[in-house]
Amino acid sequence: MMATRRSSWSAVVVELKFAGHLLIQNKVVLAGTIMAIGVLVIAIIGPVIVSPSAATNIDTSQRLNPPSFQYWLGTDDYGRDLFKVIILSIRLDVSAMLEIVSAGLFIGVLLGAFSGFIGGKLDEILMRITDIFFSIPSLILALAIAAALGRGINNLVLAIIVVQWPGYTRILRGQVLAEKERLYVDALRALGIRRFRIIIRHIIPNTIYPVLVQATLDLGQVILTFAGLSFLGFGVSALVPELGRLITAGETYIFQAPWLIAFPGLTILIISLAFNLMGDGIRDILDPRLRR
Amino acid sequence: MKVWEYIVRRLFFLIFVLLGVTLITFVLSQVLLDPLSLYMTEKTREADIPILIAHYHLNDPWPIRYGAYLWALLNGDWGYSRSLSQPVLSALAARFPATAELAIAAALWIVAVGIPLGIISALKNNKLPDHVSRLIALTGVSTPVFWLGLLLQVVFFYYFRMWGLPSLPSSGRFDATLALQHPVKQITGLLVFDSLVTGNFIMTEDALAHLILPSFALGFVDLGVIMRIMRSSMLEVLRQDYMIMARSKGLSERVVILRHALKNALIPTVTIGGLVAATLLAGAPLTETVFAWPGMGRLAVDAIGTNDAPLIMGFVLIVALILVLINLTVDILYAFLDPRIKL
Repeated sequence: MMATRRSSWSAVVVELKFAGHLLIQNKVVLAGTIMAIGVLVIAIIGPVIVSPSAATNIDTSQRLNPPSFQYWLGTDDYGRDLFKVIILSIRLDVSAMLEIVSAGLFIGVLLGAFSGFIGGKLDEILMRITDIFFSIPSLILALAIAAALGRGINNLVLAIIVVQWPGYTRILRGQVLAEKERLYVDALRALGIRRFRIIIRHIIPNTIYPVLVQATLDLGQVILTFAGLSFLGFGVSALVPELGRLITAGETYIFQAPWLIAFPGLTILIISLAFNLMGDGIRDILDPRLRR
Repeated sequence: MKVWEYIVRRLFFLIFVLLGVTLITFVLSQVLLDPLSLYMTEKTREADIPILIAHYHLNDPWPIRYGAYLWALLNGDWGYSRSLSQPVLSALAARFPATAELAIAAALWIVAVGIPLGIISALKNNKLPDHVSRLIALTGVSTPVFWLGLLLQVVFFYYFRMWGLPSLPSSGRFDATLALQHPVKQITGLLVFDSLVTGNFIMTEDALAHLILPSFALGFVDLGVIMRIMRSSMLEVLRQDYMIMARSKGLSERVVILRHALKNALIPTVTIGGLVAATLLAGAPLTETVFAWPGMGRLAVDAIGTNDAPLIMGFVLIVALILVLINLTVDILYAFLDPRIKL
């Protein structure tokens, strides 16, 4: 009865440790990983190193100062220190990015596992639903959903989650189809273990790597979608620090104060690049076919 | 025979997907929004509302409502845009050529640059050119397209003009005063094409100049995608036995690469036609907004500001329709190019 007590999740930890070991050997991936960790650290401790009031302190005497020793990245049209505002913004963008991908992952993995394992009508219906989602670019569908839900950061996050899960469902379901033919699954069934338990404790941990790789790669995309839709005016109100919104505000002064656009955008690029570098490397490491 | 079966199957899939997309827009516009707003015009009086409700079956059960919605769509009744005071379909149709022209320009330059770069990085696998191409690819997919667009304007429009260099236009499709002096006869709506065939070369030049920055920004994201797919496809081919065969026949490296490898490696890249079209269309709302480009994407973004939901849903539908058609073309093309499909 070992199998019922020990799930396959412990193997996931071993596998991830191995991936971590390979990760350190590849310099580009390592650089990406360090950048990604740096981004996460800033997102967490941002409000500690920079007082949150920096985002709400309006000082009209200091409007649109170019970058200088006093204001590293200049000041915006409210006279706020752009460097501080960007540091504070990272938290919102990064947490939105993580929320979207983890929620999408959760829904996608569960649906994919059950769809693949149970098969039949459920599988057929779910796969056709994912077909529909794949036929429209996610940014455009998210734009329409966000428009229907109305403005606001929560609605924007929700809209992107709605378009995010089908990809994970598809990948995991494919893995599960192969995995469920394995002998140990029959053994578990013969032991009389419930289907739900088999899926959660054994099928998912054995099939989850490709989805995790995809999720890492998606982090870099999701922040672009989020910031992009926020730039179009879906997200936060004027004084809430958010990178896409900062660019919208800077657009008014595009030629007068180009730093207002340049630096928030560069921050988005760096965050996205960090997670893309990391994800790209992890994919190469975990996928032997790509190890060329 | 087998190819036709395949095509028919793809056609069924196409119809199914379009039904699915209409189901999404139906749910979004009928459940989350006021279903009446889809069909009301500024001329609609209080007394007309019951007529509208009856005509579009808005008080009937869901399946009937969906049927009526679908029927209206099929008849070209995509709803009414109150911010533009015109039917959604004609508003989209008027803006379609601008979006198409921008997407075509972007697609052309990234294919012209991306495919050679992909081949080079496959041939120089894991050497400097390969690392550079990987970096370009990753930077491309990490770049916010709206930010890139704005930066390009700052540098090539504003700073170039300030430094006395020939600057590029930063917004719109053409110079308004120039267009008044040299009006372009509308044939396809694609400005470059129309002005070229009518011999209006001044406007061709102007239209091309206006295309450079937006098409660069729009395409940059996809450049890496094409490059990487070309690279891996080329690597796959280079490992095949027939490459050893070609080399052992004593063919020059040039012939081996261009005739034997490239021809086969290009086949899989055809399949990304659909993918590229999808990302180019997805980039349209952001790119067109930033460059004040009068296309469908900008229309949809403006519709957000004016709460013009019918227009947004129409945009989603038309994008789905375009992509489904492009994917169908790609599938058919692929079936003819790759004989293995017939199996």
